Amino acid sequence: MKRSLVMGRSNAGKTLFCIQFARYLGVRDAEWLVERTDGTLERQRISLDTARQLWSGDGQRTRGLHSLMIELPRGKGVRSLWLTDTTGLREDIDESPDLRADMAQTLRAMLESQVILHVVDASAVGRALAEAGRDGSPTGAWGDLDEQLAAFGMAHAGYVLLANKMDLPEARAGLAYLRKRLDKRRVLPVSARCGTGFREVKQHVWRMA
Amino acid sequence: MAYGTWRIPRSRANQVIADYESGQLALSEALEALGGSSRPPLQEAETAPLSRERLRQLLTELDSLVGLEHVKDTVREIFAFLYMQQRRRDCGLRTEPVVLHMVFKGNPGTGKTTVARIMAKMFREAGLLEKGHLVEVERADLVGEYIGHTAQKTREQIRRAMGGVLFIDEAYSLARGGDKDFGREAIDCLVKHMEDHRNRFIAVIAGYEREMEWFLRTNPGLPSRFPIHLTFSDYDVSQLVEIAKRMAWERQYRLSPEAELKLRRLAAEAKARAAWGEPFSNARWVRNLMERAMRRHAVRLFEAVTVSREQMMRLEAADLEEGGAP
Ligand SMILES: Nc1nc2c(ncn2[C@@H]2O[C@H](COP(=O)(O)OP(=O)(O)OP(=O)(O)O)[C@@H](O)[C@H]2O)c(=O)[nH]1
Ligand SMILES: [Mg+2]
Repeated sequence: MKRSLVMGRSNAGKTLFCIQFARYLGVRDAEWLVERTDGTLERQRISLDTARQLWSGDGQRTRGLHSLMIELPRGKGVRSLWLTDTTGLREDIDESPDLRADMAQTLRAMLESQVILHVVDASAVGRALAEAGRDGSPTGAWGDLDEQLAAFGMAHAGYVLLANKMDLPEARAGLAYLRKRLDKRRVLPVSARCGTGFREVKQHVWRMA
Repeated sequence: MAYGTWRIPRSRANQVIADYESGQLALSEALEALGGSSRPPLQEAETAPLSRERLRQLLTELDSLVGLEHVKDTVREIFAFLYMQQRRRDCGLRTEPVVLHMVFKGNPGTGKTTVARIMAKMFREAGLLEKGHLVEVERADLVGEYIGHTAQKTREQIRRAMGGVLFIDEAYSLARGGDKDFGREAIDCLVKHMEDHRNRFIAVIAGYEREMEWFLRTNPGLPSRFPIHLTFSDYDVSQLVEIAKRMAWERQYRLSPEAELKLRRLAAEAKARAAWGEPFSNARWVRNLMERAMRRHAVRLFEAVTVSREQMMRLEAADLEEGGAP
């Protein structure tokens, strides 16, 4: 089955986005498929509300691949595909080996996915830009890692960048930066918290499904 | 099906991910490799290719430093080599991986930090470093007090230096305390991160020539990892005077002819004492002397009712007096 992979830097809002986007697409009774790096596969029935409390928030780092089945209308029927939340990427030099294993799992999944949703915290980019001053770069919120991921994505039809947290004021400057940095058509502003911008994301996923 | 769109073969992709997992590649390097080498550019080119013209511009700041001819020549060689590597790559010829970690040997005040700072900027302009800043540390910033503390402190400094240059002053002191000393741990930690994060930062180890040579000799793993050596010689008297004049000029002061003569004499004396083993800090000695001169100049003119613009700018021989610091 086809897979939409939600990936990006840690704390960008991937988990919250998955939960809210699933809700938007009409998922009610959520059954999660959890794939861990040790090869185990587990089914968990956890409602979206509970998942939001359990899995998204400060200090709640996602580990492993968490997938939900979503359905999109296609012709007379529906197409189902996986919406997969992943371990956030980061480039600390003291990342532990098992965290590396989780991120390697994210990279492997990336190679297999038809849709890649690269979530970026646009408000953090905006804040970092304000701190860096004129001509500065948004250190910590957008870096090498994101550049390389975006570069990878440019050759992949299913790639879009989701500029998240657009409900926060600093996010506007962040969005402007991201639009300059890469092909504008590949940047979609969203707010995982408020659910804005989801229609465009749905269209993109639908096209690839 | 999606797989068909990748430029790099499946087996190579698996290898890249395995290398990342085992800590041999940084995450962004792995992503870069997965994208294939001829990746399509983002909308803006991030790093302009190294042009000869740009290279010349980059060298001007360095050239404007007093003396250091040998250092300037070596830096020119390094950048000429980097430029050639790029041209060879453009022609599809084989290129050597370049290791840019460096050893700076020389006495205090001979311009090691200044040169490191300029080179960091040059590497950034050449697209070899992301930020090009300089993080200057010494033993106390790296070595901790208990087991594990050192690795933690060293990692923290390396993290700060990511994208720039980590400049370790008096690096030989890391090997000072023998085998049980935590300094060893700092060296090991540094070396490990130099491998793990190839190309993400450049390490410069600096210190007195004799001590640095001993340091490299007693740590067999180091010489191959620090292939570039720059030797900073002491300034001669004329160069010390030139440095003083520039310092004055930058602060809108001038040296009177008598002051310049006196400075020449003081410098010659200080160097003569240095030859007998007294510590002498080269450009730092000049700076201390000049800063003291500016204070003495202010005191001298304090009581004067009218002071001309000319007087406000001119340092006299009487203002030049050696202070406490060597
Ligand atoms: N204001 C605002 N906050 C958001 C938005 N999306 C996520 N957040 C907050 O950002 C924080 C991180 O959200 P998560 O969804 O846990 O982030 P993640 O990307 O899954 O993080 P990792 O699993 O660690 O990689 C939480 O505090 C969220 O409430 C948004 O659109 N607006
Ligand atoms: Mg998460």
